[in-house]
Amino acid sequence: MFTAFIIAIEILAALLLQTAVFPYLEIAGIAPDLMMIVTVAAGYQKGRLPGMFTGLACGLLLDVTSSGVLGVYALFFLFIGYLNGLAKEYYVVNDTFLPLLLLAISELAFSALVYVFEFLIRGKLNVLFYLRRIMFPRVLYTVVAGIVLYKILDLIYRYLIVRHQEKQQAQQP
Amino acid sequence: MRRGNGQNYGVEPKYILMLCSCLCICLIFLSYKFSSVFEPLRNGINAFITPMQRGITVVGESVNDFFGKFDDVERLKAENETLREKIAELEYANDLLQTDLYDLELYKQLLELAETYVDYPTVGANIIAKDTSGYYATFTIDKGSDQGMAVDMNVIADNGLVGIITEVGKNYAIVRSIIDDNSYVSASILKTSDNCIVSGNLELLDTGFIEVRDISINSEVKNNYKVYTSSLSEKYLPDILIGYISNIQVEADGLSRKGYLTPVVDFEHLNTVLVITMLKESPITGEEEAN
Repeated sequence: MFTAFIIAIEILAALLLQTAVFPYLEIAGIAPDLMMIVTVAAGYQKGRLPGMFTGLACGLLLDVTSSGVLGVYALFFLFIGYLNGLAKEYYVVNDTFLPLLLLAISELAFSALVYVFEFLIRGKLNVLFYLRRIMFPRVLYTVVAGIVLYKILDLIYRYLIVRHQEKQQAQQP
Repeated sequence: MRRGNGQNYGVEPKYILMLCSCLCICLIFLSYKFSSVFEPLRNGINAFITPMQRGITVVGESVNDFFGKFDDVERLKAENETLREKIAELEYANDLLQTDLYDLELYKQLLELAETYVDYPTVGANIIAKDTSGYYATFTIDKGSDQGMAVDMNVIADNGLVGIITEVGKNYAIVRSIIDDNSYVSASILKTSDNCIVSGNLELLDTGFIEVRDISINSEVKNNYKVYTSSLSEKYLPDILIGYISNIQVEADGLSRKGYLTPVVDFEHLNTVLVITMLKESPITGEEEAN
């Protein structure tokens, strides 16, 4: 319950930073995708189920605050959370490189899908331009932001684990 | 190496994934078909988020202003000098125009000319959030249906067209600017009265231009001609300046001309906008009102 509360605050903070603060810090019109960092971190640190729900919440918030059809971002972030949760079960969590790699792959997949459904479908075929100008800078910027933010999220989750263990010990006679 | 994680959720997560995906897909279809049903949801969540975005934006702007002051000084000094020269020039030009104006008033009265330039009623609004994905050029303003905003209202700044409202909530509205890749504005070129389409193009992002297409092949358009919104447009009010045309070429099919357009609005440093609180009347709504 406490974990859910913490994650809710993380998501809200990420949304506010992304929409209201990062427009001031954007480089060449690109800003890091903080919602993605939160989703990947939740999936990789806490597993499939928390990852999924975090992704769903992030996606829905993005849907609601942008115009258009509801549920598209939600569906995509749901899968991102789930797949990163799967990664938790296959790899060691204490790795520092892997989450960044996962973040980069997730972000690239996300940008590529947006390109396919919003631009390619309208006959904008210049894939290389979009890769060079939008997708790669976005992945790079997100990973750079991820190096800092992931560490903070990691510390939060570690604190949660310690807190959980202490509680369990206190319950045992 | 597989690491046993000893946690037991009760239900296999993959079934929950399937359930949630089905829910999302249903949501996509439902919101596509009946978008009004979800308005309370959007409004509820945005009522919670918008005030926070507004607060952060105010803080962000003041911080930006504070640091901006230092490098502004030099620039302002130079600007001041050029402006002084400009004032002198303009004062002289103004004198000449004053006399012309007097004549014009006289002729107008004689001809009983109707007022050609319409002053649209506007309301100011602050930009509180921007899309940062790089794909879209949309932003959120801090006024919504409670303050009289409605979908399809035109948004201007610096006397030029910024965009159009695409979605309205109780206390926010989402604006799609004309530099968005999905934006198409029916426009006309002032001096030659040629109709054309001004469309955003993401691939021209770094050049600062957007695109003008569908200019007649017989057009005598030249660089730096002014482009205004056309009275043919369904959603945009007529006679709003969009920008200046340049780089005119014949389209590959040889049937029309295209060119680049420099918008008058500085989209990089846009903080406040004016919303025209008047909708373009289409013939259909006129009929409905008559009934």
